[in-house]
Amino acid sequence: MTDLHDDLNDDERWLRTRLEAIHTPATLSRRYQAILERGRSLSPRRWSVARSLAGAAVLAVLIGAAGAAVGIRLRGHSPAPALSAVAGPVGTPSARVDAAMAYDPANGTTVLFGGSGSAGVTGDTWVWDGEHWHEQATAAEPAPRAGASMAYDPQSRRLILFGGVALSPLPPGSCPPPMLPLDRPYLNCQELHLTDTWAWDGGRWLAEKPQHHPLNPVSATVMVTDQVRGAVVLLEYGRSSPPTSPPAAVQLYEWRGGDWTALDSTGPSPVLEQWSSLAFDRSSGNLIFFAAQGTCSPADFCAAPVPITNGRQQTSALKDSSWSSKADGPALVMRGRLVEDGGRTILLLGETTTSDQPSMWSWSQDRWAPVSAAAMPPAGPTAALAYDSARDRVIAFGGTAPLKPLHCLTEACSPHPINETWEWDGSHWELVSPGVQPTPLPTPTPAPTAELTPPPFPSVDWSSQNYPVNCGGKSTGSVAAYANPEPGANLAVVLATCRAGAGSPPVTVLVYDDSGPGGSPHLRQTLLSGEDNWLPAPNGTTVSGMDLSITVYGYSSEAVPRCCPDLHTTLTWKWSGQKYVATKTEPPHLNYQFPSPSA
Amino acid sequence: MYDSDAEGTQPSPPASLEAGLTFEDVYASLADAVYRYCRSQLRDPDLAEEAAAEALAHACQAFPRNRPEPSWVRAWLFRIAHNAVADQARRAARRRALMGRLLMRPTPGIDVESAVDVRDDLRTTLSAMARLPERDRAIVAMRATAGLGYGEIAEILGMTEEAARVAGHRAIKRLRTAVQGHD
Repeated sequence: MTDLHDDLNDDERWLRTRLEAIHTPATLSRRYQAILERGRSLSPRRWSVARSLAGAAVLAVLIGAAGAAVGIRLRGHSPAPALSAVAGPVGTPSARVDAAMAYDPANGTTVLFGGSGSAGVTGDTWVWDGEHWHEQATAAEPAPRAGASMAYDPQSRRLILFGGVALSPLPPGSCPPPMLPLDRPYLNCQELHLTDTWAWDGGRWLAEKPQHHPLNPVSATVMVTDQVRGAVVLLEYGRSSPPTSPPAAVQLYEWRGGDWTALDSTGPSPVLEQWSSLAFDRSSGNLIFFAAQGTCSPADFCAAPVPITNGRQQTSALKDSSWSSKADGPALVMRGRLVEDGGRTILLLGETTTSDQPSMWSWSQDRWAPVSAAAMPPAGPTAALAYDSARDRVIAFGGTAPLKPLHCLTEACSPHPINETWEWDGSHWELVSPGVQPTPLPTPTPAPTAELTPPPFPSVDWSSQNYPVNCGGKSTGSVAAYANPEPGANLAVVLATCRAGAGSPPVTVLVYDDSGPGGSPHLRQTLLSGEDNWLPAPNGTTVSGMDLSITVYGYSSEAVPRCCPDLHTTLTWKWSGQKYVATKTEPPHLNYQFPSPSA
Repeated sequence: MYDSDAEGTQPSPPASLEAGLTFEDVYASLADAVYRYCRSQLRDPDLAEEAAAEALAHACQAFPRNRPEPSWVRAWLFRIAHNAVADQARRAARRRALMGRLLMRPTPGIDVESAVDVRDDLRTTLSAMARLPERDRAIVAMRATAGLGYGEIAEILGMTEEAARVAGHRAIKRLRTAVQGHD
């Protein structure tokens, strides 16, 4: 059946959008079946038809929990009770971040594809029926990827999946260690930006063959169903290349008739490039775009939560083909993701710089208002989000937890992917599928460390030492590795930084021995100072015999944001009998300029 | 089941049924639209759900006999839904009258717009629609929820296509003005 909405005029489309806020109650299909049941007095021919429709659903009711265990159950909502058996074994998707997820109203399910987890980038497909995840076995499917975009196409009644990032086929171990931010490691490996388009028809992935592709291959995309256009709209926003050049303005595309068409737009289009998100606002018929971009001071590295004062947020609305700037967005939100919340509002799940807990905001009448909830998905904006219009629930899956400062470099605060499923009913978040324990992200596997048995400095609190770093205040540190390059040389390689305050060196790398009073730490050598402006990677320090190596990140120029170093290398030293001697020349990079004392 | 038997009075469906079209397809495609239509016509969501369920069940039973072809199935289903709405409205009126006599006092209509599940903007829209004449309300809702053509609507409501078009355009203009004035 074709969509006959195409000939509606503007007034009629306006009313259609309004009435789409009416959600079909979950009980409709049961009442429908009950009426069919009462129709047993129908002629055998009539009943055979009714039974053919209701049979699967009734069977599912009868077998109840047993049915769920084998992947057959009755959906508690319309549409199509006769198609209510969700295929595929029941299970739980593995922990992951940057999966593509969207609600499929044609089949009444929420579909999850791909993402990045501890096993790397995945290409599996899962369906959430409101109670269980079902893994889908498909003959053909998109290549494994993370960061793909997915939305429902009301014209073809299929989900459209576009793009994403895959890892190029490099030998294991050749991918460099994750750069910052830590929860998106694939962005720092060998990226392969994909531009293929796929369609999910409820049971199969179908490769689309559009004549045109969006895309600057280094851009990123967000996608949403535009209920006014009655089509999928894709927004390409520029991750410019090289990263030091200004980000490009967004470009809009529409999926119609099996092809991507670039759309012209006017007005001040948004240009922010990080954490961009898009949602359809049913109340206004506008597309709402939100982006947050944070920059940070060196003191943010490895520090406790520190307010980041120079972050930017941007909210824009697209009506017809015209952009308009809206509110700047909730202050302090460093990362955020939008999701439609039925006829109510648009929700923004955000991460602020002042808390390691997610925050939530709603968009109404051109402004953001905070929303409080007793519990929230711990992954906040890193979770995949979708709105189930039949059940009037927002679904959140996966992401990374706990949320911590973006630039935390210590292992203790590294976020981990999770596989929890949460649902939001308009007033409460509920954990509906707890998943399993978090699995650590892939991190560099250090060579066996020459740890002493027992290690030196057994009673030293390294976090509260007075380190020779240019803080003007309190400093802190942690041991990156212990070393015993020769008998009697009991060493600790320590990463020290300031607890807070601008103008301090990012990280200082120090070597201590145990020659202090009573075996206490004694500074033996400074390997890297603050001026060197190298940021050691978490778990990036390795010791092997007389050799020491540290994987570090740096900046090619002042134009590179502090949050996102664009260089990485591995520096090496060898023990000379008295100290470590550098065996590798440092590559060119930007040194850190301390503010003058009078400034 | 209905005062106006959809099976007997609907426009004659073509004899041919396109191979492959099943009522499962019809349900999957149009059940939400049927409910939205019923909800836009009946102020009580429970009555709307009952009307939608009855319409879908009735359509399921009638489908193999009526054999509507794909291009007509939408109008065919909404004719059934329209009759189901009218039937529910009459039953509700009878119940209210009976309760009024039993309690010896007038029984107010159910103010379902105050229900917590009805959002502000939707509540405003439904309230404005409730003030439209019944026929006009049906016309604009059939357009907005199912995209029916005016020719199809005219056949369902027993009027000319031109009359349906004029009434629909005027009604939706009034409706939008009222809602946006409220906004």
